Amino acid sequence: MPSTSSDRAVDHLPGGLKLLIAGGFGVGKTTLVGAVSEIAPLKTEATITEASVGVDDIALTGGKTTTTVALDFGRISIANEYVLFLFGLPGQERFWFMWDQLCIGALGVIVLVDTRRIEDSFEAVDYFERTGIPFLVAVNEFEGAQFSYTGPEVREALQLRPDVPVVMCDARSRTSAVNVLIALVKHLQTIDYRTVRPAAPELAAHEGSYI
Amino acid sequence: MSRGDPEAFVDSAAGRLIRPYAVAGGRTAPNEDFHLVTYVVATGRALGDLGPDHDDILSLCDRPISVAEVSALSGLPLAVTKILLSDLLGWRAIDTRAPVPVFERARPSTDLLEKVLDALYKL
Ligand SMILES: Nc1nc2c(ncn2[C@@H]2O[C@H](COP(=O)(O)OP(=O)(O)OP(=O)(O)O)[C@@H](O)[C@H]2O)c(=O)[nH]1
Ligand SMILES: [Mg+2]
Repeated sequence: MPSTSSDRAVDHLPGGLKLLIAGGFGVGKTTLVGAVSEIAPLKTEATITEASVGVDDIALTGGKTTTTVALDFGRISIANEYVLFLFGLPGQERFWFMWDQLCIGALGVIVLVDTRRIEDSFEAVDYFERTGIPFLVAVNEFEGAQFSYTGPEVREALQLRPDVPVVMCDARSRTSAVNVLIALVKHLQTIDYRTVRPAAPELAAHEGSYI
Repeated sequence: MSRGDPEAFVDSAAGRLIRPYAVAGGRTAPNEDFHLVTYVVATGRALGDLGPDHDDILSLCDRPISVAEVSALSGLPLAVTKILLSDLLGWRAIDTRAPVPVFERARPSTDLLEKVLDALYKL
């Protein structure tokens, strides 16, 4: 019997959405993904191309223009209609060139900050301000942190624009991690996208080539 | 399906990448059909002998699944996963749904953001 179009599995495929979690080495990105995800965090190895724009060229893997990086991720189902994926970006600075490709098609970014090493976050904040992708700063409060900062102090230290939200969190707590996501989505609802700066040229160059 | 010579891609310095190169037959074309959060599902179309790698990937597509998860669960790198999925798509063994488009400097739809927020409040 021929199936009607509504029987086809393809009609029931959810729409994929992605959010990114950036931040310095060991700041709690994977912990945050695990706290909110409906599955245990998974890992995929992505080959990122630096110079050969838009080409997933595995033959170049041994060359200087590509790097293999492990992205960990989790997911949250949105009403049987969408699935929101959270990708933790590698913290090491040498992987920053890959952000361009990962940012394309992302709803927004959580920049996770550890107040014991707040300077680790300067470049991430600067990067996302330049590229114009909406982001917020989430301060992962490690207990016993020698230097405890308030939200306003973090804002001051990172010289954030006034419209960038700062939220405190405990990346291990599901409730707390969910609240970070809620704050980001509310930010997306209220941000004036007209004031968002034009994408940096290097980002525009990757148009249509997101991985 | 023509295959490149896997030996041509063996690189002693690359060690563990040898197998993925062989799996993918050395093909290196860019692939715009699949992104990390593209969804795929098996169509149920009967195919002949596909070989173990395509079989593994296809069985993961029994239920709707993202490209990122196919890669993670198969243990194959993303680039190799995409090439194998691309074969399966070419043989109409899978269907795909592209990610929800998100444009630079444009607010995603109000409806979409509300649905995401509602789902988060329920967590
Ligand atoms: N005490 C405390 N420990 C935490 C917190 N968040 C994360 N950790 C721990 O800090 C360590 C690093 O956390 P990860 O989530 O792996 O950090 P990451 O940012 O993914 O690290 P990389 O991917 O290596 O950059 C782990 O041992 C976590 O258990 C927190 O809020 N409080
Ligand atoms: Mg991590």
